Amino acid sequence: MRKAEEQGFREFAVTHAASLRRTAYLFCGDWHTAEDLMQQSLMKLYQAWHRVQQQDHAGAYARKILLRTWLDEKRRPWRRAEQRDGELPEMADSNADPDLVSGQLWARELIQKALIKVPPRQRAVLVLRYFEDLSVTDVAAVMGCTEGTVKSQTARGLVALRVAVDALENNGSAMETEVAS
Amino acid sequence: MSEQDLREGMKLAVWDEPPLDFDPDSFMARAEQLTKRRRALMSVGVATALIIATVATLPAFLTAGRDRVEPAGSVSATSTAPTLSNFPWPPNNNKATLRRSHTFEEDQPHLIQMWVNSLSPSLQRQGVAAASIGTWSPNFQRTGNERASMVSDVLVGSVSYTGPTGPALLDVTIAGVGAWAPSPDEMCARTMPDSSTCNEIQRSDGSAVVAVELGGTKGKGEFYSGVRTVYHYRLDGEVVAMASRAQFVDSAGYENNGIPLNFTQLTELATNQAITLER
Repeated sequence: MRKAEEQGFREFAVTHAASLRRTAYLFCGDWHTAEDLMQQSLMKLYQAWHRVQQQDHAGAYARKILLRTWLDEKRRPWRRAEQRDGELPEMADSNADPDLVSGQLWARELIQKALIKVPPRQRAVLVLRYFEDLSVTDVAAVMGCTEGTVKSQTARGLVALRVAVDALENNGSAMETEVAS
Repeated sequence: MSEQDLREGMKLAVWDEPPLDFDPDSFMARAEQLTKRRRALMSVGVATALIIATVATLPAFLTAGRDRVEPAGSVSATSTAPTLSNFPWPPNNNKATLRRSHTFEEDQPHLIQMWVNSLSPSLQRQGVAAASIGTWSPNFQRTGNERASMVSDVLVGSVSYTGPTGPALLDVTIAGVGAWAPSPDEMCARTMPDSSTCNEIQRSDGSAVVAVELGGTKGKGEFYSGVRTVYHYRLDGEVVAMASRAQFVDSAGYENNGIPLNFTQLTELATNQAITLER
């Protein structure tokens, strides 16, 4: 890779690494896996950089690589699956507003538990549309499918997510009831 | 949950993201290292594939070369080429070059392949219509030219087809290494004085061609039908003979012009290296 190309890639990587990791986190629900996915995707992008930079759509290409890397990772039977049967001690943050923290924790629960229950491709569509704010056309380009498929996957994904959220909320209410009684 | 809730929920979900541990320098160094390793592996892979491809295709290439018809020698029935008195015959064959013991059944697959891939196409290259070519059913039989105890190595068979003057036959004789007794000189001596012409030609590759044409009267009230034969004496000691004649002969067929294939065509057939017995 030439110096100019290398410099271009370096700037792109520094600029996009964080956002790619966030997207990867919403795909997989785990920050460590997200970090790995981001690194792998950037590595693949590095190898194709001389082609990508000429077409001026490196961001979309990086997202496409990230999505495929994650889907490939999920398909592997020996895929690393972290066992989370332990509980981390809660640490108080004296600077945090309790109401805000409560809302943020709820959102995190939502993502970690409800979104994870949505099938992978539907989950990817939801993340790309509602987190990355991509248009249907752009999502179709990243997913490598038609716009109609994106729309149908979005609708199904939303239904699946609502079902998962309802189930979580019902469980939560039941647990609260149990604790109160 | 509305779409707006989902947007906000996703943004909130990443609020506590851990600090990014991304060092561009070390990443670039690792990427460069992996790229070099990948290139090296690809080079090894390509080299391996080339070696395998070469090993796999070389025998086929050599075999294909055998099917190439050598340029016909300037064989002419009226030529006055010198005799091949110095042509070594029989060649100094050792055991390794002789054929293994065999039966017709063992040879049959090779003969079928030879017929399909070499003999029939060679005949078609001489202008014979494929549809007119009949079957070839050769067998090992006595010809009078074989060495004692080598009868089972002289394969003889005829092919019928329609030539320019009507039904015709191509007699194919393939004598295995060491099975053919007469030398090129002796072939002419054996056919004389009945043969109309007999010429021996040394070819550029060192092999020899004997071109014989019979036709006309043999004696009072007896006739030879016209037959034109080319014997190819190969360097390894094998002899392949191609003889052309009309299938049904009347008095008009005694003439030379009743013989379907000329010497050049017969030489092309006989010198085809793919027409050979399996070792």
